[in-house]
Amino acid sequence: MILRSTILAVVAVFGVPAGLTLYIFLVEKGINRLRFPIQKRIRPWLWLAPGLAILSVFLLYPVLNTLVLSFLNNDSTQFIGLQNYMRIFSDREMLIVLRNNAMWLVFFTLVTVTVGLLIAVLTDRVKYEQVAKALIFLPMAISFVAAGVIWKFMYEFKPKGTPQIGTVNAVLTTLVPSFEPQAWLFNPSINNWALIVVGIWIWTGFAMVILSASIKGVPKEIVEAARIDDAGEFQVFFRVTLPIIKPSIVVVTTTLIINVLKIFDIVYVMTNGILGTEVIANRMYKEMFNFMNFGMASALAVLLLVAIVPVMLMNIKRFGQRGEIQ
Amino acid sequence: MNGERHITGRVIRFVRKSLIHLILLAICVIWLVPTLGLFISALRPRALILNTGWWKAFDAPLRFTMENYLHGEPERIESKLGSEPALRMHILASIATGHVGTKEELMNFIDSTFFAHQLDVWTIEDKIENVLNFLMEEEFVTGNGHLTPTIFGKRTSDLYIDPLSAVIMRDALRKDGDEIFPHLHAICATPDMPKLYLRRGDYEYVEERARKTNLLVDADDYEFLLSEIKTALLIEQWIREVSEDKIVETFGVGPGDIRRKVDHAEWLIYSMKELGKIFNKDKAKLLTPLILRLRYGVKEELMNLVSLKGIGRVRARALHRSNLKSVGDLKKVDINRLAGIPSIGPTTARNILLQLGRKGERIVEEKTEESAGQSSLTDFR
Repeated sequence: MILRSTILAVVAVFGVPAGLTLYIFLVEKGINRLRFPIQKRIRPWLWLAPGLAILSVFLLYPVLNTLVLSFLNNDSTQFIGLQNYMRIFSDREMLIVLRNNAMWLVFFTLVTVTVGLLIAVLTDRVKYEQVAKALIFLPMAISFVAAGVIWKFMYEFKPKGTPQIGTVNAVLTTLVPSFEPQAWLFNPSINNWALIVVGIWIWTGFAMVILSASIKGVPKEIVEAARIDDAGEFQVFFRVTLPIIKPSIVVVTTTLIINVLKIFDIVYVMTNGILGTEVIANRMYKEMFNFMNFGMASALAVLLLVAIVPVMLMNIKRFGQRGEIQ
Repeated sequence: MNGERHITGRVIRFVRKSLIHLILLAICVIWLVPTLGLFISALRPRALILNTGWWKAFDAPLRFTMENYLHGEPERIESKLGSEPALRMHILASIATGHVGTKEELMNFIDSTFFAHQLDVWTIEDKIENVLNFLMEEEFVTGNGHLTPTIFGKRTSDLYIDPLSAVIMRDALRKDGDEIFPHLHAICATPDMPKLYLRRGDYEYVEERARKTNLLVDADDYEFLLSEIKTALLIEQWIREVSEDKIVETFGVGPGDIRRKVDHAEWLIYSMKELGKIFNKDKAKLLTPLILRLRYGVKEELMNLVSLKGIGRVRARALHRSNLKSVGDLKKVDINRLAGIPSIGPTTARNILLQLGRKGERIVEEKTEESAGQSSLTDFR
């Protein structure tokens, strides 16, 4: 056994590069005999072939396999057609899951981009810009799980009349004496919002950094010209800066959408999806590892993929355009 | 006029600037507070974190600690006596050894355990009552005022098995049937046997076997039943001399898992045999050879050979194939022929004959390739 795995390791480390080199060597030998225009056309494909082969084995195959599994029953022994998908869109619990993802999608993205933009604009005008930006960006450096822990402290709840040890309840009860302390994570009417706030806290730094860089790239002359023409600060922002940085806003937004659709860690750490806070990724995890329902888990995975791919393509296209501009 | 405008401009700019500063300051504070709270909490003792907010950390008296980093709390030891299997075993043991003779003595005894030191005994009084009733009903213990162990109770306690396992074995022993597999399933159905989980590909063959077999033990849960059957199947393969590699592959377990299941099986089959002496002598006879077969993983025909030191399932099979089927055959065999058998070799041959009282025999040095000890990586013993 040990010998076998040692041989395997040696083959993997030396054999694969050697094999690839040999492959390219042979390809070049063979290809050089062909006429030049044909050479030019097929060379890239032959060079790409090993990469494409690896990609299809490790990426394409699992995706297709998941797609197939999503049409099968819980232990993948029976074909049940679209039943898994129908359950996603009819089951009461599943509809709550979808609603939550929609809430995350809309409010998380909207607030994160807006606040990120606001901070980017404001920090552009002060001397302590670097410090302020570092502070806002700090949560990005913290793992989602740690962020969950941090915010569990923040949302801590003690019954009314006892001293609050959670920061949020403490601040609100001190500032507004009539305020009733809330169990932020357990009250079904606010717990989703409480979780979304955590997401916003983490991701605003990301939006801010990219938008700030983009604002710095706005040509000074255009802004000056607008000011000379007597435009107010708001007019300068909405009529000049905003249109110029629009591509960056789109990129930030799409990146955030991709991330928020997959949101998992925050919910998993803070509520584990109880009391109506579950999102698609959490549900998928539970279907897979708690209920052992492979079909349902795969269907949810496919749903996520289908939701994310268009946004992803848009994002890639945008990146491409930006590359062309520069 | 011009100067006045200049001043108003500056005032407006100042106000506007301070608005920006104010907003930024507020945002920075909001963004920083959660992390700050965690940072300070990390340096506070546990009891304080649970009772006061982190901002109280700066009130006198200051109580910061590096405890959470340097001297983490030692892991808590918790008494497991509160669980029913543990209670069953220990209550029976304390009665079987004659340590306690009445219910009061039992309660006094439990009062002096580590469990009582950690938790209140009254929390498990119901459970103790249940266990006592169970032990009486299943006839481990008799007597109203004075608790006396029965032979069954004593034996169960000596064997160190869960009384519930003993009940399952007893009921299986009382049923007819002399096939081996149902008995393997019976021990796999006891709580003392760690069970294998089913993977997706397992259902088919496990379910088929479940249908075909007349089981001695009924299951209350179908999934559990399948797990028990799968575990029993692994053990059956082992005593049918299926190679370890094959078992590893078929059941998706590690080699260590095989050892673990088989060791448990040997202990439980031994226990079942011992209980068989009380309840069903015929079954005791049926189960006795299984103990050795489980230890060495051999079919019945090799049992005689594996009793020799240095002979395991592989060598015993090699000897058997060479028509040496018992210790008696080995007593007569020519040492050169023995040494020439694959996987035996001169050293082992000498060892075997030494055990049979044949000393000082010479081997004509004629090393065949096969006899040069281990012939392949997987073919040891």
